[in-house]
Amino acid sequence: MLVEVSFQSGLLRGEPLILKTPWYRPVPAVVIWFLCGASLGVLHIAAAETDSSKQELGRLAAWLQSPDEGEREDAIRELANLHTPEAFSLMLRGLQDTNAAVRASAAWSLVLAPAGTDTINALRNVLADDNDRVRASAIWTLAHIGGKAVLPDVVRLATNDASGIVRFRAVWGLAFIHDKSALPVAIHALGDYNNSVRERSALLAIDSMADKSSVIPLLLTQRAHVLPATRRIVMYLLAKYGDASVVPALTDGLKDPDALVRGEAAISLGKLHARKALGALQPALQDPDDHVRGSAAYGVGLMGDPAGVALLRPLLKDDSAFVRAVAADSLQTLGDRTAQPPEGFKSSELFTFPIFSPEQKDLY
Amino acid sequence: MNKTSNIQLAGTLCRRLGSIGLSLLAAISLSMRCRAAALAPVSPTPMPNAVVAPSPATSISSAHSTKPASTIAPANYTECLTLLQGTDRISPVLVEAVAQLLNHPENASQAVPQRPPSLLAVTWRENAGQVRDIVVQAYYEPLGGDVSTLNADGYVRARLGGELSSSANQLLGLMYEQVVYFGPKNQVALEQRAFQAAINGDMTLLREQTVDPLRLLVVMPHGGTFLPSSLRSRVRGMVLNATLDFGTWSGQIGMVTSDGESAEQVGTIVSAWRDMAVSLADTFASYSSGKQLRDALQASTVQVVANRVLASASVDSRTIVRASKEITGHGGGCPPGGVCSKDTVAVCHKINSTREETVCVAPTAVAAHLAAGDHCGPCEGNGP
Repeated sequence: MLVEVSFQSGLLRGEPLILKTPWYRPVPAVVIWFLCGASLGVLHIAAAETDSSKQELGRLAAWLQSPDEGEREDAIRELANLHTPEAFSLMLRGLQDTNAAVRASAAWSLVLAPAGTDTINALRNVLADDNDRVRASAIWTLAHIGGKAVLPDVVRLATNDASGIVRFRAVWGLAFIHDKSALPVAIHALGDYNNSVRERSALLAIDSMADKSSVIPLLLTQRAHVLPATRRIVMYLLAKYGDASVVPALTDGLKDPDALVRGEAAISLGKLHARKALGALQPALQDPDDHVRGSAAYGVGLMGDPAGVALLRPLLKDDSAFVRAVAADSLQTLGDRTAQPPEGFKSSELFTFPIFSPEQKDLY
Repeated sequence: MNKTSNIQLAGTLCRRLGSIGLSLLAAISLSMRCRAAALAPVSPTPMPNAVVAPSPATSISSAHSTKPASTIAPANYTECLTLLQGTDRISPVLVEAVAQLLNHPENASQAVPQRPPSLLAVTWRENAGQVRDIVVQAYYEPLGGDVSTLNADGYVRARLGGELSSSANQLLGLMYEQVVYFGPKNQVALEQRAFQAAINGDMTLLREQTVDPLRLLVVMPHGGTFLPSSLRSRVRGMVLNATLDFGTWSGQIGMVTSDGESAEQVGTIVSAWRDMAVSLADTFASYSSGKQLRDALQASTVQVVANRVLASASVDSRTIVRASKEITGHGGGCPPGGVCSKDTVAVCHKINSTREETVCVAPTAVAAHLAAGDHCGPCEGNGP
């Protein structure tokens, strides 16, 4: 006995499909039909999407010719969402727009493009753009998609571009290329006069490449840098990546002419639990600068040596309210509860240098 | 809107004031001269760890006197001092002390420009009826150059939009210019360091100074020029009055308009900003400071009193420290170009104690110049 199974499908755009099948086989027949229908459906949808994409591409291509630069910038952003070779090709044209915001937007959005030679070369061409936002966007994208091939470009802008925004992006870009040969460049960026380059992107780049054996010798070359801010961050990094071998360098840092460097050296000695350096901290506890005395008191607490209690107690009578508060807090850390810091006071909230540590990625 | 109706504060103000502004915003109080502003009295700030005054203190027993300061400061400061003198709960003794400091430019931290400052900030401490540690900071209008201080790629700029961001950049650009300090050398050194770090997004050194609570008063005789266009034509002067203690930074910001009608319009605009500010804080809600900022903004108020708009806010200082890190931009560098070519940076090079000249240097050479005491940008009144 044959069973007549009929299907009506709009996809087939024809008469009802009638299959004649043995009575015991209608289910497989349904499955077969469904698979065929689904495939056709997918093809149909894909075709429709292609039509739609072409229309969208045409619309955005026209929009790119708009005299309104805002519309051209919007077109670039929408093209990026299409993820098609034609769209990326149009975006490359955006790199030559007369408006810098459009060029920057194109350079930035091309991070979604495949790393083809055309794209890399087009981005390289705008590295000489007069506008620093364009250069910053281009180098950022190159670092993301170009790999080690673009390292020389990234290094050149990281070290020589006159704009802090460009150096910021280029140095950060080193973290994505992840080539350890660029570690000296990242260390050099610690000496940048722009604090965002120095204390954000350089730290990220170093963190992505550093291991103790390679980073410590390079850091030591920077500890006499002309910028106090650089010497301070070196003190911080010596504790982050170092061990007992960096204690002499940190002890030297306690004699730095800059108070913030001396303070950071004292804290770093504490972080390393360098109990042998407790004596070296004694002058820092009597430093004329409030910040250094407070930092040294905090460092003594971090060291965890009960011998520090005797050094901290005199600070409870310090002229500075800040120093007294830190001393009381550190004494509590060392188990001496005779002094109470002010209500709500926590030393750890004050000693949070650097502003941006690589662990705080949400701040970037 | 009733003349004294409460409106909710546009915490955006805080944002627009940027990192320092955030603290100011958090705290500001203003009242205007020649007005008997009916501000609620500020409750005394507890001194968590009072100290013996390390520097000469001045009695403020006549704190509520309206007697004008007798010392005549240089004419450049007349507008600022008049605004300072008219601020509620500001002692004439303090104003007198400020005038005396301004009368001694030879003791200032650097050469004093021969033009009125755009912003005068006074910090001091009060304890047992005495004021001490008075430091005056004078900020001058930038001479040129476009410094983008808000993170151009960040949420804040995107959410604020071009005009508000531009306004914020203008104000923060002012902060990046030369600042002249007047006051005891030791205290000046501490504050220079703390405020410079604050401008770069690190408030911890400033917070360190508030273990012994710090009072802060900022006057901007032409503060309206730093505001977005919707307010610029209506707002004249601005005064910010804050108390910074270790746990909380609080106070009021006041905007002075030419008449009551303008004040109501400004109040309405500021009130409308509040929703945007809360929305902005929502953007950061997943960040540690987002929720606290939003709560602080929601609890803040704006009051219209005669020709003034007074906005009050109180923010946990840890939140301010955290938020300032989150919103800070790419400041701290010298902008390229301007009077120099695009590949070089203008630096004002100090030849000796009396002579300086603008030089254009490669970016790699800037750090050494800054370390030697030169400063960013062209010297006053000359090019390379």
